[in-house]
Amino acid sequence: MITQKLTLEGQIIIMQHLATQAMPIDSDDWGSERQVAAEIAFWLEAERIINQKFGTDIFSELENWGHKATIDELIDRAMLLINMDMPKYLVQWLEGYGDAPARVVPFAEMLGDDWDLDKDFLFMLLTMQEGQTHSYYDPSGVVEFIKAPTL
Amino acid sequence: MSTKAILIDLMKAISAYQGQGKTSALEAFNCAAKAHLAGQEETARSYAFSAINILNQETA
Repeated sequence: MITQKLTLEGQIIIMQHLATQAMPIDSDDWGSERQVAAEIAFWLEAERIINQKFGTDIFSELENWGHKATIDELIDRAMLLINMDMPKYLVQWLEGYGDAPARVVPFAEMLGDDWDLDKDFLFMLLTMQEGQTHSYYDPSGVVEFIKAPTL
Repeated sequence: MSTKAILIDLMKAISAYQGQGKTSALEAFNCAAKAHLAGQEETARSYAFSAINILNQETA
Protein backbone atom coordinates (compact mmCIF):
# COMPACT_ATOMS: atom_id res chain seq x y z
CA MET A 1 0.00 0.00 0.00
CA ILE A 2 1.03 3.58 -0.60
CA THR A 3 -1.23 5.41 1.79
CA GLN A 4 1.37 8.03 2.71
CA LYS A 5 0.77 9.58 -0.72
CA LEU A 6 -2.98 9.80 -0.21
CA THR A 7 -5.09 12.66 1.10
CA LEU A 8 -6.93 12.12 4.37
CA GLU A 9 -10.05 11.03 2.45
CA GLY A 10 -8.06 8.47 0.48
CA GLN A 11 -6.46 7.16 3.65
CA ILE A 12 -9.85 6.82 5.34
CA ILE A 13 -11.20 4.65 2.50
CA ILE A 14 -8.19 2.34 2.69
CA MET A 15 -8.21 2.22 6.48
CA GLN A 16 -11.93 1.34 6.52
CA HIS A 17 -11.08 -1.58 4.24
CA LEU A 18 -8.07 -2.69 6.31
CA ALA A 19 -10.14 -2.42 9.51
CA THR A 20 -12.84 -4.68 8.07
CA GLN A 21 -10.20 -7.21 7.00
CA ALA A 22 -8.51 -7.10 10.41
CA MET A 23 -11.67 -7.92 12.38
CA PRO A 24 -12.03 -11.66 13.12
CA ILE A 25 -14.86 -13.17 11.03
CA ASP A 26 -15.70 -15.67 13.79
CA SER A 27 -14.02 -17.44 16.71
CA ASP A 28 -12.19 -19.83 14.34
CA ASP A 29 -10.78 -16.91 12.38
CA TRP A 30 -9.48 -15.17 15.51
CA GLY A 31 -5.68 -15.63 15.51
CA SER A 32 -5.66 -17.29 12.09
CA GLU A 33 -2.85 -16.59 9.63
CA ARG A 34 -5.27 -14.45 7.57
CA GLN A 35 -6.57 -12.44 10.50
CA VAL A 36 -3.13 -11.84 12.04
CA ALA A 37 -1.67 -10.69 8.71
CA ALA A 38 -4.65 -8.37 8.14
CA GLU A 39 -4.38 -6.96 11.64
CA ILE A 40 -0.65 -6.28 11.21
CA ALA A 41 -1.35 -4.50 7.91
CA PHE A 42 -4.00 -2.39 9.65
CA TRP A 43 -1.80 -1.42 12.62
CA LEU A 44 1.21 -0.53 10.48
CA GLU A 45 -0.90 2.04 8.64
CA ALA A 46 -2.91 3.12 11.70
CA GLU A 47 0.25 3.85 13.70
CA ARG A 48 1.72 5.91 10.88
CA ILE A 49 -1.45 7.96 10.35
CA ILE A 50 -2.18 8.55 14.05
CA ASN A 51 1.45 9.51 14.74
CA GLN A 52 1.39 11.91 11.82
CA LYS A 53 -1.86 13.44 13.00
CA PHE A 54 -1.55 13.57 16.79
CA GLY A 55 2.04 12.62 17.69
CA THR A 56 3.48 9.41 19.08
CA ASP A 57 2.11 9.84 22.62
CA ILE A 58 -1.45 9.35 21.45
CA PHE A 59 -0.72 6.08 19.64
CA SER A 60 1.19 4.67 22.62
CA GLU A 61 -1.72 5.68 24.85
CA LEU A 62 -4.11 3.92 22.47
CA GLU A 63 -1.98 0.80 22.88
CA ASN A 64 -2.15 1.14 26.68
CA TRP A 65 -5.91 1.59 26.52
CA GLY A 66 -6.11 -1.46 24.25
CA HIS A 67 -4.70 -3.81 26.88
CA LYS A 68 -8.15 -4.04 28.41
CA ALA A 69 -10.14 -3.90 25.16
CA THR A 70 -11.20 -6.43 22.53
CA ILE A 71 -9.74 -6.31 19.02
CA ASP A 72 -13.02 -4.85 17.74
CA GLU A 73 -13.04 -2.09 20.38
CA LEU A 74 -9.39 -1.26 19.74
CA ILE A 75 -9.83 -1.06 15.97
CA ASP A 76 -12.98 1.05 16.43
CA ARG A 77 -11.06 3.45 18.68
CA ALA A 78 -8.20 3.67 16.16
CA MET A 79 -10.69 4.42 13.37
CA LEU A 80 -12.31 7.11 15.55
CA LEU A 81 -8.91 8.84 15.74
CA ILE A 82 -8.19 8.35 12.03
CA ASN A 83 -11.59 9.75 10.98
CA MET A 84 -11.55 12.61 13.46
CA ASP A 85 -11.15 16.23 12.40
CA MET A 86 -8.68 18.04 14.64
CA PRO A 87 -10.92 18.95 17.62
CA LYS A 88 -11.06 22.23 19.51
CA TYR A 89 -11.76 22.90 23.18
CA LEU A 90 -13.06 25.76 25.24
CA VAL A 91 -10.42 26.09 27.96
CA GLN A 92 -11.20 27.84 31.23
CA TRP A 93 -8.58 28.48 33.87
CA LEU A 94 -10.60 28.08 37.07
CA GLU A 95 -8.18 28.27 39.95
CA GLY A 96 -4.58 29.29 40.45
CA TYR A 97 -4.12 31.06 37.13
CA GLY A 98 -5.28 34.55 38.06
CA ASP A 99 -7.86 36.04 35.74
CA ALA A 100 -6.68 34.32 32.55
CA PRO A 101 -9.55 34.59 30.03
CA ALA A 102 -11.18 31.48 28.61
CA ARG A 103 -10.29 30.73 25.01
CA VAL A 104 -10.81 28.17 22.26
CA VAL A 105 -7.72 26.02 21.73
CA PRO A 106 -7.10 23.50 18.94
CA PHE A 107 -5.92 20.08 20.10
CA ALA A 108 -2.71 20.42 18.08
CA GLU A 109 -1.65 23.35 20.27
CA MET A 110 -2.06 21.26 23.42
CA LEU A 111 0.51 18.77 22.16
CA GLY A 112 3.20 21.44 22.60
CA ASP A 113 5.61 21.59 25.53
CA ASP A 114 3.98 24.79 26.81
CA TRP A 115 0.95 22.82 27.94
CA ASP A 116 2.77 19.85 29.48
CA LEU A 117 -0.41 17.76 29.77
CA ASP A 118 -0.20 14.08 30.71
CA LYS A 119 -0.56 11.80 27.69
CA ASP A 120 -3.41 9.83 29.27
CA PHE A 121 -5.28 13.12 29.76
CA LEU A 122 -4.61 14.11 26.13
CA PHE A 123 -5.99 10.74 25.00
CA MET A 124 -9.09 11.26 27.13
CA LEU A 125 -9.59 14.73 25.64
CA LEU A 126 -9.44 13.29 22.13
CA THR A 127 -11.87 10.47 22.74
CA MET A 128 -14.47 12.29 24.87
CA GLN A 129 -17.85 13.30 23.46
CA GLU A 130 -18.53 16.76 22.05
CA GLY A 131 -19.84 19.04 24.80
CA GLN A 132 -18.33 16.85 27.52
CA THR A 133 -16.14 18.50 30.19
CA HIS A 134 -12.97 17.32 31.91
CA SER A 135 -10.88 19.17 34.46
CA TYR A 136 -7.12 18.99 34.76
CA TYR A 137 -5.59 19.34 38.21
CA ASP A 138 -1.96 20.26 38.67
CA PRO A 139 0.00 21.99 41.46
CA SER A 140 -0.74 25.39 39.89
CA GLY A 141 -4.50 25.03 39.87
CA VAL A 142 -7.45 23.69 37.88
CA VAL A 143 -8.12 23.97 34.16
CA GLU A 144 -11.43 22.92 32.59
CA PHE A 145 -11.70 21.61 29.01
CA ILE A 146 -14.99 21.46 27.10
CA LYS A 147 -14.90 19.70 23.73
CA ALA A 148 -16.38 21.96 21.08
CA PRO A 149 -18.94 20.57 18.62
CA THR A 150 -17.59 19.88 15.13
CA LEU A 151 -19.00 22.42 12.69
CA MET B 1 -19.96 -3.43 -7.57
CA SER B 2 -20.02 -0.74 -4.90
CA THR B 3 -18.02 2.47 -5.26
CA LYS B 4 -16.05 1.51 -2.18
CA ALA B 5 -15.13 -1.88 -3.67
CA ILE B 6 -14.04 -0.14 -6.88
CA LEU B 7 -11.84 2.22 -4.87
CA ILE B 8 -10.23 -0.64 -2.95
CA ASP B 9 -9.46 -2.57 -6.14
CA LEU B 10 -8.20 0.63 -7.71
CA MET B 11 -5.81 1.27 -4.84
CA LYS B 12 -4.47 -2.29 -5.14
CA ALA B 13 -3.90 -1.73 -8.84
CA ILE B 14 -2.18 1.61 -8.27
CA SER B 15 0.01 0.10 -5.52
CA ALA B 16 1.17 -2.64 -7.87
CA TYR B 17 1.66 -0.28 -10.78
CA GLN B 18 5.16 1.08 -11.43
CA GLY B 19 4.59 3.17 -14.60
CA GLN B 20 4.62 6.90 -15.24
CA GLY B 21 0.93 7.60 -14.68
CA LYS B 22 1.05 6.58 -11.03
CA THR B 23 0.91 10.12 -9.61
CA SER B 24 -2.01 11.11 -11.86
CA ALA B 25 -3.86 7.93 -10.94
CA LEU B 26 -3.29 8.65 -7.24
CA GLU B 27 -4.64 12.17 -7.63
CA ALA B 28 -7.75 10.83 -9.30
CA PHE B 29 -8.12 8.24 -6.53
CA ASN B 30 -7.90 10.99 -3.89
CA CYS B 31 -10.62 12.97 -5.65
CA ALA B 32 -12.78 9.84 -5.89
CA ALA B 33 -12.31 9.11 -2.19
CA LYS B 34 -13.27 12.68 -1.23
CA ALA B 35 -16.40 12.53 -3.38
CA HIS B 36 -17.34 9.10 -2.00
CA LEU B 37 -17.03 10.26 1.62
CA ALA B 38 -19.17 13.30 0.73
CA GLY B 39 -21.86 10.98 -0.67
CA GLN B 40 -21.29 12.06 -4.27
CA GLU B 41 -21.26 8.61 -5.81
CA GLU B 42 -21.50 9.65 -9.47
CA THR B 43 -18.53 11.98 -9.11
CA ALA B 44 -16.60 9.38 -7.17
CA ARG B 45 -17.10 6.76 -9.87
CA SER B 46 -16.17 9.24 -12.55
CA TYR B 47 -12.85 9.97 -10.86
CA ALA B 48 -12.27 6.29 -10.21
CA PHE B 49 -12.77 5.42 -13.87
CA SER B 50 -10.42 8.25 -14.84
CA ALA B 51 -7.76 6.63 -12.69
CA ILE B 52 -8.46 3.23 -14.26
CA ASN B 53 -8.15 4.78 -17.72
CA ILE B 54 -4.82 6.33 -16.79
CA LEU B 55 -3.48 2.95 -15.70
CA ASN B 56 -4.86 1.25 -18.82
CA GLN B 57 -3.34 3.85 -21.14
CA GLU B 58 0.04 3.51 -19.52
CA THR B 59 0.04 -0.27 -19.72
CA ALA B 60 -1.30 -0.40 -23.31
